[in-house]
Amino acid sequence: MSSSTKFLTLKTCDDKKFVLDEAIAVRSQTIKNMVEDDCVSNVIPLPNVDSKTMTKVIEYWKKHSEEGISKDMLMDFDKAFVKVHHSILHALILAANFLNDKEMLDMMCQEVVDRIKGKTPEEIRKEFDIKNDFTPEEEEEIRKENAWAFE
Amino acid sequence: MAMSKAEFLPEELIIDILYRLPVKSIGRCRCLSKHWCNFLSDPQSIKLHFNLHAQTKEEKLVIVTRQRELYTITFNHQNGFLHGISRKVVVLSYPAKNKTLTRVDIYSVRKGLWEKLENSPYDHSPFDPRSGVLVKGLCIGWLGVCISTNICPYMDTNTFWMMKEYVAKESWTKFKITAPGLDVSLTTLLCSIGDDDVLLDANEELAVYNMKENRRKDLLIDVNLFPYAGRTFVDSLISPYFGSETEG
Repeated sequence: MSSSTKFLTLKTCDDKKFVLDEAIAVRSQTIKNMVEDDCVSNVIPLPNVDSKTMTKVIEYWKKHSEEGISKDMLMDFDKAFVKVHHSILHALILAANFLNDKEMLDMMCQEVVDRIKGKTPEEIRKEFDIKNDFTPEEEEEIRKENAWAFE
Repeated sequence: MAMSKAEFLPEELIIDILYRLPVKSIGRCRCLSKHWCNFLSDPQSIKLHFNLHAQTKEEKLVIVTRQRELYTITFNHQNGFLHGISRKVVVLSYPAKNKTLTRVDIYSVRKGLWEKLENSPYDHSPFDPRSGVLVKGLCIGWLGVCISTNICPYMDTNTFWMMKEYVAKESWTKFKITAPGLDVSLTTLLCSIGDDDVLLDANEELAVYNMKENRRKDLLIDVNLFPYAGRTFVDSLISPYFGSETEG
């Protein structure tokens, strides 16, 4: 057991700094590799992540690193964590991908899947702000071709 | 082209999301916008979805009953029981076989009609109970191609061989069935469910057999079916037209 806690400083693309326990920060495989390769100087730059997103990521990491937390409590936390606007979900997926946190990435991707499953195209468009650029004739044609998906 | 931000995820992430979606959701997503329509109609995407989606644990079966009705059954484990959810589908058109030509009728959902598929490169003889199940057999194109997996074509008295991983020679596994009341000479192995259970067509009755405990298990199914023939299949967007088209 290490006697002293090591801290890392992470700097997001909007120049905000986050000081974080190394044991928590290495949930990110990207950061872990940097630490193991000894290429961590004072500050670790995260050019692809903004501070708003990083705050959420750290909230997730801290909760999942809490000692003695029950599985049920984590499940409730995760459930609430993913219930965000699609733009935040999108930013979190990109952040989890860049930071290479497989567990978090998997959870966020599953949330996208759950938001698409069983929904009509209209509902999916609304959920993800997708613009319908078909002409009415084109749309009718494409709906006809994929009629089997609407049974 | 108008696109939302969500469409700018890296491709590997879109693929990760895509393969978790059922075939029907993919069909619906084609109706979202031109971008998604093109992306999800691309033969590459379809093939990839099939390859990844086919690895999921769920087992699906298509059953022809003695009343000549066609059902699909999806199996999953729940509370230690094996559950089957059935769904009646279109009427089956019978594949006819003569010496020189294999003819298979295919129902195209897209076109809404039956069509002949002549000179199919695969052997379709699903109604001979002793013929075993040939890979990529039984083309019934109502959702794409039905492809059987995990199944052994050879059977002698009570010994079965099963290929646990599709097209992996080293995964051939031998097991014997010794359950009382099971006439093995009339039994056909349909598919494996999970690691230890196999589904059998035991003289026109569906039975589950646990290979590890060497005993017959209960099967809960929502309808009483008298199967005439059954084979496994995988939902797919691939057309049985072998390259000339991409959807069926």
